[in-house]
Amino acid sequence: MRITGWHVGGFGLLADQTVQDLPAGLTVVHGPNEAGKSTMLAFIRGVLFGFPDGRSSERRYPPLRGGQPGGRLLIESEDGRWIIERSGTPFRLAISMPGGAIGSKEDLSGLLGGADKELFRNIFAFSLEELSEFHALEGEKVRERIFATPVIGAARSPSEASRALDNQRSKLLKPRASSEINDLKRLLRDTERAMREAQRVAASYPRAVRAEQEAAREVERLSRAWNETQAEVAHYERLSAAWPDWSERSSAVEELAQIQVPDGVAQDAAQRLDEVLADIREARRGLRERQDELSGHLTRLEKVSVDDRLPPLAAEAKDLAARLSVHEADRQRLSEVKVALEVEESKVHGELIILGPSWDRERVARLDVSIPTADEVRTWSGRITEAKDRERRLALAIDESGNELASHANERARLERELREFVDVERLQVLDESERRARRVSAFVADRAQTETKLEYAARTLEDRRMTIAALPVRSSASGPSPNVLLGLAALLALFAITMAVARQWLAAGGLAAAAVAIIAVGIWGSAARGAGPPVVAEQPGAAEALREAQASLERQKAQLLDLDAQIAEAASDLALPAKPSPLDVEEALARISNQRDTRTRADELSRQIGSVVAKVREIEDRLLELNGELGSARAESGELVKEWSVWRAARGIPEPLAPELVTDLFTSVHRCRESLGQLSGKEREERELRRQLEDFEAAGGQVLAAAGGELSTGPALLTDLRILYGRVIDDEGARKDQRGLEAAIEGTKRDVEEVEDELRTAEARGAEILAEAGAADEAELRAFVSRLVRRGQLEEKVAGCDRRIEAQIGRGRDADELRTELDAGAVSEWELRRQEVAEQAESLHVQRDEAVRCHQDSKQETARIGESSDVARLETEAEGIRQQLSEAISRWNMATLARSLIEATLSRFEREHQPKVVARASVLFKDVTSGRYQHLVARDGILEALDEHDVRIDAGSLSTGTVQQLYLCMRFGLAEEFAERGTSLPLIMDEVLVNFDPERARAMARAIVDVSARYQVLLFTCHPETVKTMQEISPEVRVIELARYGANASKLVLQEAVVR
Amino acid sequence: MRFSFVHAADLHLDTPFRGIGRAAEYVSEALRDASLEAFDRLVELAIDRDVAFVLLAGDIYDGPERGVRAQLRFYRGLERLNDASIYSFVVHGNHDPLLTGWSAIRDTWPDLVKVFGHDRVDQFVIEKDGEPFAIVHGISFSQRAEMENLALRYRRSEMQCFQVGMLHCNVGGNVEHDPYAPCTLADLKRANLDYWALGHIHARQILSEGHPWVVYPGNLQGRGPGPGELGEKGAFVVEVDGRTAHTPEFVPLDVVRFERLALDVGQISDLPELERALQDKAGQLQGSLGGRSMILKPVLTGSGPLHADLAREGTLNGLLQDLRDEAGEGVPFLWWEPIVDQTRAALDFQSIRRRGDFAGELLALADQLGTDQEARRQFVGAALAELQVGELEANGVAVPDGSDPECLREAATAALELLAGAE
Repeated sequence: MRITGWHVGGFGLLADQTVQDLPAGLTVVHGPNEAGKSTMLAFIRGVLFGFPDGRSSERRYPPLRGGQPGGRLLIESEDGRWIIERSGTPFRLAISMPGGAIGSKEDLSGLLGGADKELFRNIFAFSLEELSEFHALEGEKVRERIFATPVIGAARSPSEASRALDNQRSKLLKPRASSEINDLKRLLRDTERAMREAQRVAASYPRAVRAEQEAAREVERLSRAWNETQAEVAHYERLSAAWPDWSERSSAVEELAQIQVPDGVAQDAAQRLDEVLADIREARRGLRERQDELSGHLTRLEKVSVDDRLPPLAAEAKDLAARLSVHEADRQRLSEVKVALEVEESKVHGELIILGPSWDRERVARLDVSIPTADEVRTWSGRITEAKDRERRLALAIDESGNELASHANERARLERELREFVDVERLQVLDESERRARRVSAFVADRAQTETKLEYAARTLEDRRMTIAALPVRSSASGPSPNVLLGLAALLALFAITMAVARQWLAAGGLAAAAVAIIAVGIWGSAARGAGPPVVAEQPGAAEALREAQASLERQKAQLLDLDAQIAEAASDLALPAKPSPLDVEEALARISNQRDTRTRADELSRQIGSVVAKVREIEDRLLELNGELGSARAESGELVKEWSVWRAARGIPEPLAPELVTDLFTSVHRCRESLGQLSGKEREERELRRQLEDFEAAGGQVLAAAGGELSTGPALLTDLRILYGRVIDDEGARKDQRGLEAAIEGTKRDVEEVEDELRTAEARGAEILAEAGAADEAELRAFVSRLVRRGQLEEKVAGCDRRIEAQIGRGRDADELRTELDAGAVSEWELRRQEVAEQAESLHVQRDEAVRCHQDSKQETARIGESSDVARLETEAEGIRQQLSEAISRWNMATLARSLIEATLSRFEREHQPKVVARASVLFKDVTSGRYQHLVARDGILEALDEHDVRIDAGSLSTGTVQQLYLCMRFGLAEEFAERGTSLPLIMDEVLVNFDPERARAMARAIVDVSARYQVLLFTCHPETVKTMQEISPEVRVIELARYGANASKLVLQEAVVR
Repeated sequence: MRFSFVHAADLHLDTPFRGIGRAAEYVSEALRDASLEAFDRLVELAIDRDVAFVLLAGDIYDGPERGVRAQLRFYRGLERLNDASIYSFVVHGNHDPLLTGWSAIRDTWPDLVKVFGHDRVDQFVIEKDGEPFAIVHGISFSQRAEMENLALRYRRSEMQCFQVGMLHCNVGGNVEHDPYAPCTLADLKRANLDYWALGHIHARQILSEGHPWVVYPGNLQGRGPGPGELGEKGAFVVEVDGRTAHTPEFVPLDVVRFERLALDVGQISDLPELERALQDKAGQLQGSLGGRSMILKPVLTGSGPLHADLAREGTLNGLLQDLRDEAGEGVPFLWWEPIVDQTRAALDFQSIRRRGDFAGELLALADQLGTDQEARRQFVGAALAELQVGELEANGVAVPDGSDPECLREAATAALELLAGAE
């Protein structure tokens, strides 16, 4: 590619600067300082590879003289013209590809052959300062760009790939630093260490088992020793425990030997004696109580007093006392009955007054008011009432019929009045006939209208056919339709046209008018033709036939029309219509007839209603007559019935003239009076009875009181005395009862006294017997004997008890015998001493044994723990997992390492195989430039050396500044060629690269530049006119572009042609 | 007489599982007890089937340093068989040779347990009601590397009954296992026994069906995702009628199942689809587990658009973590092992070779090293010198052989993919 021009919008000192038509080959851009040459170099780099942003340390060139920041480059490639533009804030890249298509960054990268900014700066577009930076040549990208190209597209360079692999490797394995493999190795070591420990512990299982067994044996030994000491302690404790009993026993035995008791003394003698003495005391006490009781009974008996008069009267007195309340009630009741008697008598008197003066008690009693009689009265009442009711119903019906009759008469009068208003109304038949005629007329009228239409049509048809014939060659002929006919037809058409016009059917009207005019015209013409001689129709039989036919049709229509007119006239005359009625006339006639029909119908209806009313009136009258007859009969029956009633009533002594209903009331009153009389009789009887009872009671009461020694009394005093008497009787009975009781008690007490005395004597005898048995003189002696006997028993018991306890403590057998022997010795203090000693030993052994047990438990737990431990398996599994991870990590490291080694090896190979070409090229150039001072350039192990004419290797770093710049320039040219061969052909842009060269070498370098420019575009920026001159001398066709100071220039630079000499 | 017996081998009690990355605690816990529980299941099987005897053909423990827990568990299992009047016959193999390591049991085996010695082939006659019905022949390894063809020592007894030979050996030189007690099928047949109860090969196989039956039951519990450890593991129950053994019935007894899940990513477009595909396949495998837990090692192969995604740092780990999260921690569990990415970018190697650029040169270099063993050895040796392989191998780490031509080819492919931006 080559740059054909640019436009700078605003970039540093440059503003609105345009350059076009830059040629291939060498172009010198000449300008003084601050003309913008370096700025232009930066601009070209920036447009191609991007301007530095705020994050970069590169110099930025803000527009100092205005204009839109950035600009564009015009580029020519094999494919065509490109426009690369970066402008705006921020800079935006716009790429126009050959053909005008919009390009992308990838397209630009392809155009630039995959070069990046660094490569471009290092190899293709550099300044004087950058010329001296050799390390730029050693840069990886330079190396790789020299010796390699991207594998597929521009994804990664080998260096990047190598770095990426290094990154992977360092993550996996880093010497003496944390990395995945080192960490896993450390983890594996730790795990294996733990596993070995676990295995060691597991391997100690048998030892643990032995330790457990040993601990068990120790526990057993100590337990045994401890048991022995415990036994000895127990021995001495037994002795000590048994000693009190032993001592006690000994005392008891000694005392026992000293006690003397007669043989006959029983141990229970004292007890028995006590019992006997107790019985004696009890008997004496009982005797005293009985005697006291007896004297008490006797005393009470003396105090009891009775009345002998009372027992015979007791029953009666009690009876009277019991009847006292009844008697009082009877007295009360008598008072009440008297009052009730007065009331009843008053009531009866009132009832009799109600019944009447002729009524007395006898009559009341005599009257038959039984239920059957009452029923009969009710029957009479019902019959009479029924008869009366029938009379009333009949009378009511007669009244109602009379009213109805009057109403119908009124209705009839009204209908007749209305009917009289419909006069001179034709009958329906007449009206029907009229209507039929009117409809005939209507039909005739319609037929006429239709016939008229047909007539018109026939006329038109005739005219048409005439016109058809007229069109034929005609001769004069006398045939043909008359002018009158044509005129009539035309008139008819005109009439229809007018009708259509009235109906606003303009089109039809127009047509009809036109037809009428045409017919007139034909008629006129026909007349004229006939005037010239009878026209003769051309010989055409069909047309003539048609004409005749049309004429016949016309005549038919006319005849029909006339006929219809006659019929219409005839029918219309019957209906009083005009001879030629219009449809409207006919309609009116029909309407009239219809009205008449309605009127006729109404009149007929009225007549029918009047007839109906009349029939109804007759019916009512008939009914009235019948009702009146019934009423008469009913009245006769009723009168007869009343008579019969009177007879019946009189037979039963029922007062006249009571109606059955009143008789019923009478009976009711008689019943009430009878009831009152009954009440009265009852009260009177009761009174008598009560009096009798009272009198009887008082009589009996007086007798009893007298018998009892009391005074005779009556009334309330009698009652009181009777109560007193009753009390006396009760008291006397009580006293007598007490008397009997006391006498019985005295007898019983006497018997008890005798019994107790017997018991006393018996007990005293038993006591003497006991004393005699024991040989004791008295009680005291007996007790003494018994006491000794008891004591002896106690001692024996004590000895036995001591023996039991001792046996319980020390047992039986030889050991027990030995213990007894020791006990007998009685060395109590020695025993205690020894016991303490042995107890201390036992305590010590106990502690040792506890410790041994704990050790045994621990060893058992340890054995079980080892037996159940899964540490070995767990750690082995864990270690295997780590090994697996390690193996996988190593595999990945191997992969990354081998891949990196392959890349590096390939890179080295490329260096070895391709680098000489670059150096060779540079070597040739350098030889020319230095005029053979240096014959070759050699690159080895990354160091560039120059061989002088004597084949002395001189390190490039040892050369002079100018010479090394020359060398580097030659190297760049060589590299540029190498890149170009590999598809990265970019223009060389150099800024003041010849300043440090002497004129000879500058010229030589200029020749080299010109030589290079023959193959690649070269832009050489310089501020030195002599450089321009030198270039022009070497290559007269060189293009020179002049830049003014400060970058100021016209809007367009003028390409100054070189002066050709 | 009709009877049955159980044939198992390679119990590897308390085995450290190999080839598994560091797993979650509940997985490690399950694995720790898996071999022991599988043995318990074996004992239950024998008792439930009321077999006459149980044959354990070697490698009872995983190493000469026999863990106490494993030994005690083994002892208790044999004790239960003894209590059920079931004989137990044991030969030791290369992992548990008789004269190496230590035993917590000493000589206190239950009465019906017979552990065969190492110096000669012993015979044990089994009787019922005084009538012999079977003879078991066996010999144990004395040392780990037993290189003698022990099969040649076996001879049929003259007693007319069913005769079984127990031997821990490598028949036919199976290269996936150590060549201990090497023998051939002909050697075994020459002994004229009715049934060979073998051990050592972890992949279950029947080398001869009848006259005699030559059977490897495989190990009782898979030990990792290696080829011979995958799928069902268990023992055989063999019904015998007189002197004829019927076809052995395999009974799976493993507690945790190891499986590999290979998946070609060629037609898979994105990671969610990949995850679904993996989960679907895992679900299919889980359906046949019978309630067992499973440790699944996914291996992705093929080339496709996913390769670049998989190559990005963190993608595989992220996918693995998501699979593990989705699988949850319930029992039975599904544990996803780290995903092996064997996918490759779609590189046209022939085209690259023709290009002659850096990539072509790199590939040419790899091709050259691939054919030149010495150059390859030097190249790899120089490249991998930093690794200190000796130290790693001493710690039991399986160090991949970098000089393997396949390894170098893969490194070249990785380099090209990196350069191409496919990684």
